[in-house]
Amino acid sequence: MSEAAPQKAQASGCPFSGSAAAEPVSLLSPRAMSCPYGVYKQLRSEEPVKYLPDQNIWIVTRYDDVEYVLENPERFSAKESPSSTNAYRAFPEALAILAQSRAVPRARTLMLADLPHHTRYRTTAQRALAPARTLKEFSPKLRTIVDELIDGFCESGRAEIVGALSIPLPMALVAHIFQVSPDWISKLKGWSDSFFAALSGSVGEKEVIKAAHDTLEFENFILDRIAERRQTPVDDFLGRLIAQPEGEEKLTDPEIVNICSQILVGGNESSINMLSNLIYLIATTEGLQQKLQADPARIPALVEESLRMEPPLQAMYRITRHEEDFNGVKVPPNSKLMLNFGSANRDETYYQDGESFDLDRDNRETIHLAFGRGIHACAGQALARKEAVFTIEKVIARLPNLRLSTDLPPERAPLFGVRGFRTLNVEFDPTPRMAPAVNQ
Amino acid sequence: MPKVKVDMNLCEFHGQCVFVAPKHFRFVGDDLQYDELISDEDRQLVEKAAKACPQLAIKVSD
Repeated sequence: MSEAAPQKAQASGCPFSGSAAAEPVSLLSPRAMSCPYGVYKQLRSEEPVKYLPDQNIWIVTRYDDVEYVLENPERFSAKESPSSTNAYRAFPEALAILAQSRAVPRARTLMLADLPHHTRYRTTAQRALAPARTLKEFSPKLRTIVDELIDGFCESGRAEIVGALSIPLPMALVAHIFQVSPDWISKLKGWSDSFFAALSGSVGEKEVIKAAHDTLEFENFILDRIAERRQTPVDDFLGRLIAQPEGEEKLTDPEIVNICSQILVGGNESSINMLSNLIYLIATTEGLQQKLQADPARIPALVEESLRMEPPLQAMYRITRHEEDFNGVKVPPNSKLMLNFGSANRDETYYQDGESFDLDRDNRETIHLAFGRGIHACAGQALARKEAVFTIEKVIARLPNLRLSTDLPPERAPLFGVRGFRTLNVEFDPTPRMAPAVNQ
Repeated sequence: MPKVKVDMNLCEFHGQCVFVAPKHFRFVGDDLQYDELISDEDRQLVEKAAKACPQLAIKVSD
């Protein structure tokens, strides 16, 4: 992922609807940043596995190839899966800060781990995260939070959705997972943004040094809470993370910290963009709001179709262990692959008219790759889906005639590989606040 | 006939199998129920459901 100047003029729409652009492939051009799907389509038809010398990366754009890589973790390493570069490596000062850590040597778990170690991390983290149980405990509260957030702006008839809804909702769930009061949300979000910027690579020294400081703060936050739970066991995410069953190797402090940082970032970054993308879709698709008002049972289908068309995380990375042959394209060992979910999810081999939004599409036929696939598939996808459904149910019910703001155009997220918005201003017919029930 | 086995220690009730193959997987109350034996022609669909499982809890064997 690389930085690019935020685009104002054409930042809002992605009008691409099918005809491949006849120009050289440039993923980082302003146009491609605003709407990458034309470039993807061209790549799928002309060079589905293409080497990009400037980035030293092979971009993989067809569904079959992306799926093959995801399903063969023994052939493709995930150790640098979230980024194209390691941001810390370039800055000695940042490395010196990290050297003061209490949780060293640093561990690479979950999405940064390969088999066979990955299995232990994934099993433990998934058991601790316990999505089904978390939803059972927290769903009523989550619904109330959506109402409270909407109460904050519904009477005015306008809102900046990213700040008013897309960020605070997933962060409320993250705060619940770490069992801290909502006062912690801005702190947690600050850490998460800092880690994400460093993970995404191509950021400057200042950001990387801040990320190193934040890493130490976050470690202390986690290790202090872990210490409490070692004294007095608690049955929550952190408690379950350290409560290994008899006979299983306990996680070390560096492993715990690394798992927690992935849960922190994974729990908000993509959810935020998922929610903004959904609301953008509703605000810009003629007749969609009426359809959903008439039949709210179709909201889950909307969520799947939005994830297919606009996966918030457009790509993940893998490294080849052996020479690979993708239909005649030979990729040497130790090459970095960019697995492009945004492209695979529109592959014409599987999706008829895949460039178009279709609420009636049967997404069971070919399951989209927005959450990945295989051993590294998103651990929180059930949580993400519920966040989306709860939010959209309330948006549909409480923000009638939702549309983009006429004077403040949406601004796209400025990072390549992230599909979402930095700001999303909308207008709607003002509605009264709800009187939120106290004991819901 | 192909056999289906769901590891209920792993299952987290994401419901992706029910979404993909509703004839073979269903929620009954708080429980997941599924067909332990499937026909050869349904194997591909059930394997698709197994792939969709975020927990990798579903195994299809001969």
